[in-house]
Amino acid sequence: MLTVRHLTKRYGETVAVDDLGFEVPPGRVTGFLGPNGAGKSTTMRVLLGLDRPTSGAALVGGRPYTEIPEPTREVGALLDASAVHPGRSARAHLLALARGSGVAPTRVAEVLQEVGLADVARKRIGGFSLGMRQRLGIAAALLGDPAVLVFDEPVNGLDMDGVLWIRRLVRDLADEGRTVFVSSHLMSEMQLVADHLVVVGGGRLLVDEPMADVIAAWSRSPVTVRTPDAALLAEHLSTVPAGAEGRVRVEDAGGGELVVHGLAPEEVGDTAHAAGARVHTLFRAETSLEQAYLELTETATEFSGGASTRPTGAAPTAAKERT
Amino acid sequence: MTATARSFTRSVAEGPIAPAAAPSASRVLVRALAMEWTKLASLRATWWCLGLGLVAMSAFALLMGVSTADRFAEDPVAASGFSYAQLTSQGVFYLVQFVVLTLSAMAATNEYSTRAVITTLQTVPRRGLVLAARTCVTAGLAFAAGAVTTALGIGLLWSVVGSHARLDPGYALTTVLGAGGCMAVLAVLFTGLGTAMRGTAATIGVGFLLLIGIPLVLQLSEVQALNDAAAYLPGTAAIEVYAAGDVGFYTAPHDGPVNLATVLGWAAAAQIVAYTELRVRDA
Repeated sequence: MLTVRHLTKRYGETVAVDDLGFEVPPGRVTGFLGPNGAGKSTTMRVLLGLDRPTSGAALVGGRPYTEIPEPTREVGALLDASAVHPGRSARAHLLALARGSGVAPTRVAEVLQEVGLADVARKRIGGFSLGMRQRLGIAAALLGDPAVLVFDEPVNGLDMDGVLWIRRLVRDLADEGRTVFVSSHLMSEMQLVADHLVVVGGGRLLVDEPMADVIAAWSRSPVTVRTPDAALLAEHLSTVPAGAEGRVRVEDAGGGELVVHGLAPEEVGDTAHAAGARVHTLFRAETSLEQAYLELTETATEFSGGASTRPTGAAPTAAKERT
Repeated sequence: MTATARSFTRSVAEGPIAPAAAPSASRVLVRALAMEWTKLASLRATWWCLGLGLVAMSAFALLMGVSTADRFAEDPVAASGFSYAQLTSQGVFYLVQFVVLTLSAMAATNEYSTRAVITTLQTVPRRGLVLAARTCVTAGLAFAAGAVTTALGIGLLWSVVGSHARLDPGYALTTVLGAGGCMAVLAVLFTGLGTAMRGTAATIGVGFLLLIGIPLVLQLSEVQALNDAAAYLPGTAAIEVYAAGDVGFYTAPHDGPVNLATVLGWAAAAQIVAYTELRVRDA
């Protein structure tokens, strides 16, 4: 269990984290999402005792990291895969960490095997690709067989094989009952690995909800309809009053395709029926977390005084709006 | 590079982890020492540095030995004033102490340039413990460097001039241990300095000034007060200790304990600054 409570961290005048609070319980993958500079890495650094909080606390199992007697046996972390001495072999690097934390040296060969670096164990890290360093960092995190795992942007720089491996590893670790806290600035990645989402923007907490709720709450995905009577249908749709999903907006995507915002597929179908417009295709696109996230950060921007109020991702060409 | 199935890790379904009994303070220190030793010993630069010290001292001793032997062959009476300790101490002063400086600077600072310090502090979050362990390991290597190079230097000198000048094994042993001890204290100083400064080049630069640059300038000034002040710098104070006052190129205004206290004071001050810096500043 990780607990972040009223955490604030300032670097001089810059506020990196601003009164942030959330919990990361065991047994599920908690995604930590936010744009670059949102305070994710800072929060993780404070959690791991590397930076001191300006105020508030970040606790592991109820204690500050620095008060845990054998910390790497309780928390495994990968913050920066390139933070290794290039002149040391992978084996020597892990052996030093094992000796420092009282972990049996035999674990070194085990974790190297697990991350697929057994063949290059005696090679110097300087010759490793970023993907191999990322695996080495994961190996170091797993060394103490910890119940809590913290990964900062673990898929950065990995090839597809590596990305798939990380996703499976993260899932397996959570299924084993461990606490898994993974940060990313990639919404699509979070959607694939996280059960629960903590979203930060500008150092503040924006969302702390299950993944499904986040998607449902933050997206109003449009309905796509294909009809040979596009003009007729668009005209009728524009007379429908604003519904539960907000104002109605129709975009003409061309080729007889309309994209309808603010209505459910049933309402679009009923409107078409009433208008006598023939419908060849009618569907609601699966909402991506990417979309939810963009809408979310757009809102955050508005809160902080940003000017843009235009809907994200909308192609304004031939859009018929009704207010 | 294909990942293998995860099969060996403990299934957490067995239940929450029982909090492990906290290891004793001495055990934690031993672990930190083992970690720092493993890190320092696994870098080629460490061994290159020490090897360079051995080569440099060998070359110095042979050079001095051969030229001295030639002199003694022409003028045997001069041999009575010969001092093994004086020559090897100069070798330590001009060569070996810079090996110790480089070694300490690398040990203290390389984790800042690579950022590997975050991994170290995750493993051992108590920063004072990391500093203590790193300092001990570096000092141990520095002791070996000082003692072994001095012993080697004396041995090589003796092999060349032994027929002219008698070697007192007891006195030689004192010289060997003195050089080792002083190099260890200098390593404590420079590991502290490096930890406080965090940059390898800056540490070596400042170390060079402290060891030889500033004392040389103070002596060149020909102002007696400044010349005497040079005795309070770590390099000059140290050579007074390990050469047992028989430095040859420089005479401090005082003997023995004051010089030892000076070297120890520099080391203690550097460690206090390093510890404070390490505690206060984010990693």
